[in-house]
Amino acid sequence: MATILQNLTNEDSTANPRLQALYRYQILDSSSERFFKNVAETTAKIFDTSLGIISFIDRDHVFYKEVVGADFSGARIPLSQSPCSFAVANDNVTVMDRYPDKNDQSWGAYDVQVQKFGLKFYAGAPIRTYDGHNIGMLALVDKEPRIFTDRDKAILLSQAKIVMDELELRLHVLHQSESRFRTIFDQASIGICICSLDGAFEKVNRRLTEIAGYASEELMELNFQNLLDSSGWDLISNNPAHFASEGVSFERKITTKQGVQKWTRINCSQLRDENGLPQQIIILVEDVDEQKKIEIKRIEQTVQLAALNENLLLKNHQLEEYAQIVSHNLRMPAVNIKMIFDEIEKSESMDECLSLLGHAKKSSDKILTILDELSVVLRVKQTTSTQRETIQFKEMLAGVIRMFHSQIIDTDIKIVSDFSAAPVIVYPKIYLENIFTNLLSNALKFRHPLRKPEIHFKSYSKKGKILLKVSDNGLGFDSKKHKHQVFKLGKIFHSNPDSKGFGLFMIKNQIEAMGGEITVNSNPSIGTIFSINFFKYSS
Amino acid sequence: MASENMTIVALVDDDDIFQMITAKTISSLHKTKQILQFMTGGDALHYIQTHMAEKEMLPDVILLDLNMPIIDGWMFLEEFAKFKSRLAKIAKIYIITSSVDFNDMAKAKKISDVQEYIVKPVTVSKLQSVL
Repeated sequence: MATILQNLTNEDSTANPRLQALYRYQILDSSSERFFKNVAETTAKIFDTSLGIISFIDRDHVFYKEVVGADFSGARIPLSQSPCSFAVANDNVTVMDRYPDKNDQSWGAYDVQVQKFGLKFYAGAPIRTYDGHNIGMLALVDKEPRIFTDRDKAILLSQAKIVMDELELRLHVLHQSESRFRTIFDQASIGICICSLDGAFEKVNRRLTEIAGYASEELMELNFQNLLDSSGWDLISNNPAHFASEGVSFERKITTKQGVQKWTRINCSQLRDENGLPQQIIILVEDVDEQKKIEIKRIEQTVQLAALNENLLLKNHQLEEYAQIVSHNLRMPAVNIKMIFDEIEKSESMDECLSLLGHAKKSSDKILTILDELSVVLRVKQTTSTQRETIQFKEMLAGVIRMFHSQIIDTDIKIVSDFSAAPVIVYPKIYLENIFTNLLSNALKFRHPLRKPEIHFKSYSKKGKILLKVSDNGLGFDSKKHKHQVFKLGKIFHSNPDSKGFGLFMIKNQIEAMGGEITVNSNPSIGTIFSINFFKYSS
Repeated sequence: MASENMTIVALVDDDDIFQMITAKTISSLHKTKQILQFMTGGDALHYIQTHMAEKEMLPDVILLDLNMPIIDGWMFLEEFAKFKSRLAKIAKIYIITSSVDFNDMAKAKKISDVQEYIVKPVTVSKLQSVL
C-alpha cells in the first residue's frame, strides 16, 4: 500500500500519461452535475449502500466529484486519506468487505473517515479511459460489511463505463468545437488574439501576425501594449463599455514590428468566469489602414476644396469690385474729359476753352490718382506672402500714437486699449500698421463735435482666431443704410474735406489678402465699431 | 413731354464738370423754364420735400447720378418712392451715370420710377428726347 501511494505521489504530471489523460477531460474541481450525480445515485440504489461516490484521482489529491449520501461533493482529500487512491491502481473492482481491518496497520490512514461515517464496506470500479488510463473511481461505501458477487462487480464496472462514456463524448464534442474554432481562428481575415488582463498574448491567429508584422512566436513574447500607445491600451483595459453587451470598439494606429504606423479597427471584450470576473480579453484587430488613409485624404481634400471655393468666391467678389471701380470711379473722369473736349470743339471763346482745359486737367489728375491707388491695392493682392512677424499689439499702437502725436493733442482724444486677452499676432507689419493708422485717423477725422473723442482698441481670441475690435464715439453713420457703400473705393459718408474714401478700401483689401475679414457696425448716436477677424479664412 | 419752355429739370450729380457742361447744353436747347442743380442726393431730396405741394417749384424731369457720397442715387430713389404719392407733381427720373456696370443696369430696370438708364457721356439728341 505504501508503495502504491508513493507511486501515485511521485507521478510527474507532465511525464505521467495517466495524469495527462485525466487533465484532458477538464473535470477536476468542477461542480456537481446532474448526469454524474444520477449515476452515483442509481448505483447506490442498485446496491442499497449508504454512499455512492464518483471521484477523480489527481497527483496529490482525490477530488470527490459526486458524493451521494453525504455532503462532501467537491471536496479534495489527500491521497493517503482515501481508499479510492489505492483502488485506482486496480483495473478490476476493488472490494474491501471486512474493511477496515483494525489489525491491519496500513488502513490506519483512513481512520478519520472510518470514525466519521462508521465505514465497514468499500467497493470501487475504476473509471477507465478508452486508451486505458484509470483516472477515477465509481465507489460504493456502507456501514455494514456485505457480500459482493462477481455479478455485482460486473454491474459496478459497467456503471463506471457509463461515466467514462459520458466523459469521452464530452471530450469529442469539445475537440470538435475547438477544431472548428481553430479553423475559424486561423483562417479569419481579421486578426484575433486572446490576452491576459494586462495584455500579454496568450493566443494569436495568423492574420494578426500578418497585420503586426511579427512571427507568431515573437508575438507570444510580447504584450498587446507593445503595439498600441498607452491611451489606446487604456481604451481596452479600463473601458466601462466592457460591461455593455456590445463590447468596446474603436479605431487606432498600431505600430508594427517594422515601425510602421497602421490604422486598425479594434473590437474587444472581456472573457469572464462564472462569477463574472474578467479573466482574459479577446481582441479583434482589423486592418483598415487603406480605407482610413483614403478617408483622411478625402476629408483633407474636402477641406481644401472648401477653402479653395471660399477663396474663389472672395476673388470673384474682388473682381466684381474692380469691375465696379473701372465702370464707376475710373470711367467718370474719362467721360468728363470727352465732354470737355466736345465743348472745346463747339466753343468760340478762348477764355472758355482755357477754363475747360483746367477742368480737363482736374479729371486727368483724378484718373491718375485712381490708377495709382488701384495699383497699390493690386500689389497687396499679389503679395499674400508678405513677411509676417510677431507683433505686440501694444507696441504697434504706441508707434501709431507717436505718428499722430500733434493731432491727438489738438483733438484731446482719449485712447483706451486692452490687449491682455491676445497680446501678440503674427502678421505683416505694414498691414497691421495700416489698419491701426487708418482706424485711428478715421476716429480723429470723424469725431463728434459734441462728444469728447474716444477710441478703444481691444484684442481677443475666439475659436483660436485673433480678433481686434476698434470702437469710437465719433460721427458714425447708419451702417445698415449704407451697407452697399462701406469699404468701397471713393465712398465717403461725410462731407469732411479730408475724406477721400481710400483708407478703408485699402485695409479691407490687405485684411482679405491675409485671409481675414473686417466688418463695421455704426450708428450716428453712438459711433463706429470696426471688428477684424484676422484669420477667419486661413488656418 | 412737357410743353415748350415750361419744363423744370433737376440735375443731381456730385460732379461739377458734368453739372457745368450739362446745364449749359440744356439751356442751349431752350426747352426748359428752370434748371435745378444739386450736388448730393440729400440736397435734392430736401428741396423736393420742402416744396412738396408747390407744383410750379417741383421738377418735371430729374437727371440722377448713381455714384454720390452719403446719399447716392439708389438711396435717393428709395426715399423718393416713400413720399412721391404726396407730391403735387411726379417727375420723370432718368439715371445718368458713368457706370457701365451690368449689375447697376439690371438693378435700375427693376425700379419702376426709373424711365431709362443713360450712360455718360450724354449726347445732345438724347437730352433733347428726354426733356
